[in-house]
Amino acid sequence: MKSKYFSVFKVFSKNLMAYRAEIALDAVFYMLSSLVMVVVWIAVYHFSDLTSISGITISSMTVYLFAIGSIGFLSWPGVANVLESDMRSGEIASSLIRPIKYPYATFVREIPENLIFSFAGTLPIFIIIYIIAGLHLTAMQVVMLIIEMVLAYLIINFIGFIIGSLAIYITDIYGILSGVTWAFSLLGGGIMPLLLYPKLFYGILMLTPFPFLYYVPGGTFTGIIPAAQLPGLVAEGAIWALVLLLIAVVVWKRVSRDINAVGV
Amino acid sequence: MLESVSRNLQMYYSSQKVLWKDIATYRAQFIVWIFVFMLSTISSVITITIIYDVSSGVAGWSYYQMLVVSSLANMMIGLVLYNISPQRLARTMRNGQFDQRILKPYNPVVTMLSLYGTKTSIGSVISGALVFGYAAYMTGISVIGLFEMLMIFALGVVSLTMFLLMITLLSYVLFNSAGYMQWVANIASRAAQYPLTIYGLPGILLFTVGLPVGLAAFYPSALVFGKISPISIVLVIGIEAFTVAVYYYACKWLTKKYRSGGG
Repeated sequence: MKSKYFSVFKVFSKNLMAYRAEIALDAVFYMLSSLVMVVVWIAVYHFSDLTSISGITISSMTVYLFAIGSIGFLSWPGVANVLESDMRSGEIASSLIRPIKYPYATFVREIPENLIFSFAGTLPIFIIIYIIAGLHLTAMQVVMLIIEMVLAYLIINFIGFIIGSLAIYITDIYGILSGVTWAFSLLGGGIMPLLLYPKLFYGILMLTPFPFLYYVPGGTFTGIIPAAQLPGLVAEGAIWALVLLLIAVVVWKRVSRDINAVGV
Repeated sequence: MLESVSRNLQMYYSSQKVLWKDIATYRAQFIVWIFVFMLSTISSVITITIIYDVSSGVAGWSYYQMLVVSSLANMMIGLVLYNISPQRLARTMRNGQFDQRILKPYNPVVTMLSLYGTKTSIGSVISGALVFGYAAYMTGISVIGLFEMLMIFALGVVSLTMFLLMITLLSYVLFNSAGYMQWVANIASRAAQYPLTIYGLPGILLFTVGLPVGLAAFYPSALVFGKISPISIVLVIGIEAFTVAVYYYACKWLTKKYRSGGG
């Protein structure tokens, strides 16, 4: 049983490895994009003659912006693409009768991309920043960071699965997907640390799933989020992942009843 | 000459009509996309507001002046992407659909600008215009100042459009791939949100002549807010006119070098 999913995983991994140069190019562009914001914040710190803003020093801000730039590799809910493409092409009909559970298969097809992007894109950048910035993470922080990244992947892709399932009713889901990724960026610390937002707004946002893609991993890596808060945040992230999984299961049960396909 | 210009403009206008009719068929999607493009402006406003809330901001620029620069940048990128989407153009070149288009008796550059844009980026133009109107009112820009600004802005938009088209074609001719030029557009859009002075002299030069994002947003704002002399702006207009001409002829030359990607 396990080998079936592993075979799918292997095929899609091989396919992706053909695009190594694109991953490297993407990494360069993500960093250039972050660099613009780093320059802006350096100008702001210098002109305001401040050593820290809301407790964030200029070096923490720089590290944070580069770190969230590299997390950008994992920010697109690729599972939605798989579902949308299968529904549009009619491939879903043959996929559903295969001796493999289709919802699992969508994740297995998508995981290689995220793993390869993580190892080829995010991880090297994290290591480079870690060395250059002279960061010191405890073993507990590293473990928490890894769990947070997994949770970020699950949260964004469970949302992607829910939106992707809707492709049966709406022809183009990319607008909604782009809106969701923008929302994660804007409300989840993809532009700047959420600590800079007004306190009330910050408090509300921390109760939503948005910060788990950028702010929580970025804040853990830079030390903006105190280590003592990390277990609580991880627990909250796990709850959100579970809630979104349940919604995804319910939506899929409803959607799978409406799938009708006529083969040619 | 005039007849050719008129014929090409008519083709551009007719293509827009057809594309907009097509968009009107999927109204709900269109509204979603418009909203998505508006998010870039909302994001800029939030970023600038927070920057000025937690600090003294950027040297020499008040909050509303920054909003003027940022909104012009959003309008600029919206207009550029309206006419050219590197991803879409690269895809049609790869799948061979591009061939049948450039074989038609119209200027290939106008053909590309007519067909391969992202029409929903108009959302960025609308939201940018709203923020610009508000910020311009708050900064008290005069009607004459506004007119000057929009003249320089328009030339700057044409220059950036032609530049993006040129590098997309160049990349395709050299590497048979150009989708990643969308990244250049994204970075250009982000960089243009702020006064070029924060990037230092290398940044000013880069974003004026290298990746000309400053021409449409920064320089018009700098002129009306008295940050640069009117003589400097003559130089900027000269650069804009020169780059438009150079990029245009480069695009025509690169189109001749294009080899079909098959079908």
